[in-house]
Amino acid sequence: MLWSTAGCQGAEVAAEPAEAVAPPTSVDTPAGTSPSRRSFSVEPLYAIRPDRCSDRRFPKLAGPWIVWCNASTGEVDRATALDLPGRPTRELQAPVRDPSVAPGWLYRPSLEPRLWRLIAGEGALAPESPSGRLQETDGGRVVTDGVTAAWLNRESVEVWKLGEATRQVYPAHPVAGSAPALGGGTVAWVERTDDETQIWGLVGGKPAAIAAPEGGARLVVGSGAWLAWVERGQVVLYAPESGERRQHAAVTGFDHPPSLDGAVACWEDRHGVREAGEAGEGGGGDIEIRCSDGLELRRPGHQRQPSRFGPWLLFREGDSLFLASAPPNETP
Amino acid sequence: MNVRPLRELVGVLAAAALAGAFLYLDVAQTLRAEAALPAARGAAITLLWAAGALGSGSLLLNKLAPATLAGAAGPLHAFALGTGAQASLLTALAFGGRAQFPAFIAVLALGLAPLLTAQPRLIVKRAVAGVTRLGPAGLGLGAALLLPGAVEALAPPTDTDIIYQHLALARRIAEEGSLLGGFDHPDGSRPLPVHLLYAALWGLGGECAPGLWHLGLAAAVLLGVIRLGEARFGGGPAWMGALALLGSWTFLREAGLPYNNLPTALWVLTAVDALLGRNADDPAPLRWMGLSAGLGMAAKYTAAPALAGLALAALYTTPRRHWPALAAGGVLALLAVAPWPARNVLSGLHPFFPYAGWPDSSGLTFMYAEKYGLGRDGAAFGMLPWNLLMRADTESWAFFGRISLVWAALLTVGPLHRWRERPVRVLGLVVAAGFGGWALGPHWMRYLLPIAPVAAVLGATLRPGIGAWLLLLVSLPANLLPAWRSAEDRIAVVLGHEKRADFLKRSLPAGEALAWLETEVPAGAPVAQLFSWYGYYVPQPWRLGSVEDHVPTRFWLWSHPESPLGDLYDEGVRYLLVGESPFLRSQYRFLSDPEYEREFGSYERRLDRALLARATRLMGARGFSVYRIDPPTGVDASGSSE
Repeated sequence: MLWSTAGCQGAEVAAEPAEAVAPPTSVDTPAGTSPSRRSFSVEPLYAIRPDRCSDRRFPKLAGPWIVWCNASTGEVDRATALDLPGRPTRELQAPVRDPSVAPGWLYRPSLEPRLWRLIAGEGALAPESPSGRLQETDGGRVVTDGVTAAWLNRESVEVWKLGEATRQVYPAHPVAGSAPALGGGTVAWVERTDDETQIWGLVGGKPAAIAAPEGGARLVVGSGAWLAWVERGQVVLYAPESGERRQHAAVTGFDHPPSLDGAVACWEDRHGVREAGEAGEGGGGDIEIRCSDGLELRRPGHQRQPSRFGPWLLFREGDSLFLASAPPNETP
Repeated sequence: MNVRPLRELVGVLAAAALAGAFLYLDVAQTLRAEAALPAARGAAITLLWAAGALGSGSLLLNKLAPATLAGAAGPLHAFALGTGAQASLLTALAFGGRAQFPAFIAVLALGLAPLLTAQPRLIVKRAVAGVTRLGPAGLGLGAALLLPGAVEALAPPTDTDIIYQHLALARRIAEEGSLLGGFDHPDGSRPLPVHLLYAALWGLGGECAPGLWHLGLAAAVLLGVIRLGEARFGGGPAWMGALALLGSWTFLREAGLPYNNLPTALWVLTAVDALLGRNADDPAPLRWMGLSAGLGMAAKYTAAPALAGLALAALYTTPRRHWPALAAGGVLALLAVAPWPARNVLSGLHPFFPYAGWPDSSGLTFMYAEKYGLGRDGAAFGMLPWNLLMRADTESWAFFGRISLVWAALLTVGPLHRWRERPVRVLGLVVAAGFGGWALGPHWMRYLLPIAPVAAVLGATLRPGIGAWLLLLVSLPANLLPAWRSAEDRIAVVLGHEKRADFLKRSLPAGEALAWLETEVPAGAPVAQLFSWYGYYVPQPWRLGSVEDHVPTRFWLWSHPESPLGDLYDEGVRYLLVGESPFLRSQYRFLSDPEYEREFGSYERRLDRALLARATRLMGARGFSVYRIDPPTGVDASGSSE
């Protein structure tokens, strides 16, 4: 292969695949069921320019904080609190590339890992230095929920407690470049099989398929007790501990992954866009954001890249960033 | 008893032991076998290929212009002609769809076969003697200055032009045996004799062979500059021209990179010397001059202005009785160049596509010369020599290069002092014509390389004094340090201490996307590159890719306005490698906002709309994403109807 061995350097070695286990039974909610629509207000956040971030995942919510970029390097360097009076912004002591976010946390795994607790206060946010070093060049994207962290290696998934040096390693064949998900007390990832991609997780402490639908499954995310992923024509929510499964009709997974906050998932939906044609100037459908709790953005133009936490939904529209907020009495 | 010799012997032995221990403990354990073996293979093939060029070249030159072969730079001329013969053979094979491994072996063998006879072996001996004549100091200095080039040649290529064009085409040709071209692959419609050499070297010697061959060619050019300087202007070694080249980042940077500027420069140099070195009664070198000029022109059209100057000089200096030989040289030049424009015409393209021939209605400009340099008004042209010397930058569009200050002395003091001598006037005319033509085009310093060795020979007119040395030394840090920094970044991967994949991931913005393509996308699934220039590393057969200002992607979007991705799907493409921020407004300050929007911004938006409607992003990192084109409605991803 040209990428790894064709040149004037050496080769690399592959390992044995993991054994597949049948997915557990679950309680399903039929596709297409959604709670009734909810009211909300939308405001532009002109001070935050989404195109300043070189990593397309940002700006995004880390709990009630918007994590964003203003550094010339395009790296994440500040966070704005939505739940504090005046919405104060705190800068990080130094910009950080490709951080993992969890509600109230930023984490940068490396040989010198750094962990930021997003809290109100004065001055720049200083990171802590938890133990648990990772080679930056090992590949894969780390996710964290603030307590546990996980990442995908080429032939394994690794899970560890933040601040602990020991990692648990499970055999896996994750799709390259994908991210694992932490939710419901387990870790899940997109597993590459011969035919399609499946969602795998730890079932009884062993890697096993938890979703193997026809047409494949991808873009798994996790939050609290829940996992969510995209299948053909739907978004699926799954609570590993109870086995409950909820399905929501969706035409999504074409750009950004769903955003999950507990049992609430939000996603980009391009229903009708395709029919409008690639030129997209026939006045046909546009991309909307829909959430499993009924929050739905129906505005002119494309709304994209949802990031949800509690009453807040952060999204992009054109070159600008917007915030949709549910009234306080409707806060979940 | 005199103990001094004994002391010296002990000192030498101690130094040798220390050096040996150092090498054993450091280099021997530092260079890993998995890195050394492919490099050794590349070096061996490079040497054989060069020997083949010398062998066949000396045989042919002995027929074409024996006096030139016997001259001071005979081996250089033989190498140039042999290389041209190899390229021409490969061209014929590629036109017939046969430019693959067996053909490469055959071309190599054909070149080596003449070495079984005495005369070509003598040329090889002369070539070796020419190198050893430099002495330990000269060889050591040259090797030290070319060391960054060696590192560059052995490292996985990351240079933009190498991975979108030079090795990307070489790899595709070596794998498929035939040439690419047309609106989908505009790079493949350029003249490609040098790329065919790289295809053969890549196919036989692996990835590092083209770079090592180019490094050897750079060394040959330097040697030629010294020998020709001595021969034309006498009076001792003509070192300063070679040092001016070695002290210029623009030359050093390309030394180990398989570009086509220095091969062009070699043929321009031998063409010029064929004219200068010929005996007044011998018209034969004129034929070789024409052929060499044609090979240079076919290698890169940027040689045209300098060769026009040479043609003028040839007409001016050739007596009427030798004009038939001059005309024969012209015919040979045409024969060397003509296959390439003829191929375009037969393919329904403009003969000089992709430089010309884009449909007028598309409004596409192939290249904006205004992007480069420091302006194109009268004042900027007047200041051009000053700006080239003083304000060039290795990391910006201000010439994108750097040259030594000593050129100022080499191209003024010496030539003006000896202006009455015919070689000075001929060389001066070639250099002036080359520089004038360059000034009319994009002010990219590397485009000056085709005339740089000729200019360096002209510099041998200078007897360097302290002023010249001062200019050389003062400008060395600015020229050498960028090359050394680049080498430092690559040395770990060259020695095998950094994984190739890790090096590429950190060096190439699209590194992660390319790694993903390799592991996740079937090897035979065609990939279209949209605003992306990574053809060399795309494991699958690729289309579009990039040339200046992403013209192929813009042309595709322009010519398929309704369904750019659907039309790609219909032609078998399933995956896309997409660059997300292809244009920087700051590079096109010379365009008004509406012009910029029409030429660039509108195409970004067209692609965004098409991707949102008809593709699924499978991964993205550092500004590059891989998409799958969604199948038509009613067809699942595998292609069967639902």
